[in-house]
Amino acid sequence: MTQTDPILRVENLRTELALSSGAIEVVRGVSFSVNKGETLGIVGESGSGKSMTALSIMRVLPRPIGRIASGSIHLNGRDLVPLSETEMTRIRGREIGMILQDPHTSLNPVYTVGNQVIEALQINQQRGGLLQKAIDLLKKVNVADAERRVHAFPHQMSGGMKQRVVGAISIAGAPKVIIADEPTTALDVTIQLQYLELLEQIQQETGTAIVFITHDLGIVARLCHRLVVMYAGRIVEEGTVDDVFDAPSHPYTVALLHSVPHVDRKVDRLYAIEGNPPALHEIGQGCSFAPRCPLADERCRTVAPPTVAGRSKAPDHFAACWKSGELA
Amino acid sequence: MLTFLLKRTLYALISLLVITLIVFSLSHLSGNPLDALLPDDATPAQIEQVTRHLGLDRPIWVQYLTFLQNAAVGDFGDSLKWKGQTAAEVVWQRLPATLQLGGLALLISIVVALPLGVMAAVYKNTALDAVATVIALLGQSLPAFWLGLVLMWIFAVILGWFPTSGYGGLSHMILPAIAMAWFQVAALTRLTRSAMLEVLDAEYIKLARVKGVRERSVIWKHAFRNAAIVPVTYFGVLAGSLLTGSVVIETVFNWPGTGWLAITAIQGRDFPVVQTVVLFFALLFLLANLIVDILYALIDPRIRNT
Ligand SMILES: Nc1ncnc2c1ncn2[C@@H]1O[C@H](COP(=O)(O)OP(=O)(O)OP(=O)(O)O)[C@@H](O)[C@H]1O
Ligand code: SF4
Ligand SMILES: [Mg+2]
Repeated sequence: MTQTDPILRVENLRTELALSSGAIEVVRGVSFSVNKGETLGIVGESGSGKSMTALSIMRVLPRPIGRIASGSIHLNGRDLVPLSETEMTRIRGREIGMILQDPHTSLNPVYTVGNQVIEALQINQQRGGLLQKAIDLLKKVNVADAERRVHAFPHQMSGGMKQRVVGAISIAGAPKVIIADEPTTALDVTIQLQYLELLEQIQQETGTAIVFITHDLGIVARLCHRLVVMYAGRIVEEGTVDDVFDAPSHPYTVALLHSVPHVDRKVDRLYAIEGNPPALHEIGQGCSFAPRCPLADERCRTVAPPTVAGRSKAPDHFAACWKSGELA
Repeated sequence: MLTFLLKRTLYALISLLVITLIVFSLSHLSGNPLDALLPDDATPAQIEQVTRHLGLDRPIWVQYLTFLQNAAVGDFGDSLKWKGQTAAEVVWQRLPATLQLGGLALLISIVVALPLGVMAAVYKNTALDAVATVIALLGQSLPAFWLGLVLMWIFAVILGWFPTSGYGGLSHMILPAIAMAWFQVAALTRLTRSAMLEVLDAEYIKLARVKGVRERSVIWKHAFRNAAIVPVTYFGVLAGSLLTGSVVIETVFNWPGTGWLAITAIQGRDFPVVQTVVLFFALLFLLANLIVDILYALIDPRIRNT
């Protein structure tokens, strides 16, 4: 194989939450990989396990209820799952970073922006002239008037600005992978576009791989090279953006694409698919999408579907469906 | 920041004024002060003389202003029980004892409760958390005087490790201070724990973790500083209940502070002294709350900038 080795390879990841009502599996055997400099989109309805997948990779699942039950997460060839908390602390920020969804709550309200950026620099072994380095970093993420803003508190900034600061923090250690969990959902449309451009710019400059989690297929079309579609804790389809958009091979993906009127417009209509995703403790034997699938039959309801080649026939296009051949 | 503090100080002064008004009115509501001052068989001439001397023949608001004027310079009249001393002198002499004991109790509360509350939150649902919960439960269901007596009985009477009561050094202070602090430890631990639990769920804690901050720093730098607002708020209440608690505990342990003084003065109908104690307590309480406001502003920039 001439393909570059993936920088991040997740294999058969299973994550559980211990709730008072019993343990539920929120990530149920997820595998994907991301290459250097590549942007992978993860899409799926609310509750499909996108964030739990991201938090598993970062090893910051909700405490004390979250736990990786099995699987491996290879970052640059090293499995993160067995690492101790101390070892993991050294990897976070330096080798893998993350941008959270809501800029209004992700910065610490009692410290200045500068303090929080400098902290990230210090974690990454930067010494001396830290204030100037923080200002430079803020400039890099297009924070206007960085010399003054570095002394501001988060509550004195707009959402778009705060998300830029979060971006600056995530690149302070020049990680090889950045996971962005719906980083633009809380922003206005115009600010969203600027932020996406910023991410593209960062990627071009640093060659970092990005895992971009979103509801928005328009953003996927614009920003991502490949995508995985998640449903009820599983990946139901995976492929290049072109292949999946041109030849969707899972009924859920088809429905998602149908609910997007214009690929370049911000949409949030995943909910337009009739019915709701199953409650995770109700998932039975067969295909989890069966209750909402127009093609579902008895086999779908009783036997879990195999992973098959996607309709594009490209070697990296897959879907988990009994009837993907019947989609036209 | 400065305007914030000025505003708070102004509020404190207004509260103080209201308190003086209440204290003053109480002294008039609780019957004619003369009854307390004069022997039962006083002659009309004596009554006349004392009335004039105290200014009781003047309009009430003039009396209040005089009272304020005197209070401002610490003049609350002469003590009736401790002859030859002014009320202010009597209280002033007892104040250090109360501050020592209260200070030690405060120190114990903070040093025990804050780390315990923080750790109970961090290790939620573990044995440590259970221990903290039991302490909190016990502390809040045991009355301080009863705990004081039990402590005295076990550690002073039976084991003889500490003196039973009276004024003295650290060994005299430990039992009463623990008795005073116990309830506060309980309340403060519970508050700190729940405040920390809430903060530990915040997104900025998640961000601190994903950016590679060490766990200890996540807890103390990122979480505790935010959670601290809650125990700091309680500090005002804490100071107040330590003062009122001193009345009970000082009496139980025969500790000659202002709390003990208050009881003794009430029993001896030494009204000027009672009045002075009340005003002193009010002043300390307002001071504690002013400190709370300052701490607030130091902790949280959002408060500072409003
Ligand atoms: N703290 C929690 N306690 C209980 N259940 C949780 C918790 N966090 C997540 N879940 C459950 O885990 C499942 C996966 O959630 P996750 O947050 O990964 O979804 P998501 O795909 O990121 O959705 P969204 O698009 O809304 O962010 C959901 O069923 C959710 O209800
Ligand atoms: S396996 Fe069956 S139910 Fe599941 S998506 Fe495919 S057709 Fe629908
Ligand atoms: Mg999510």
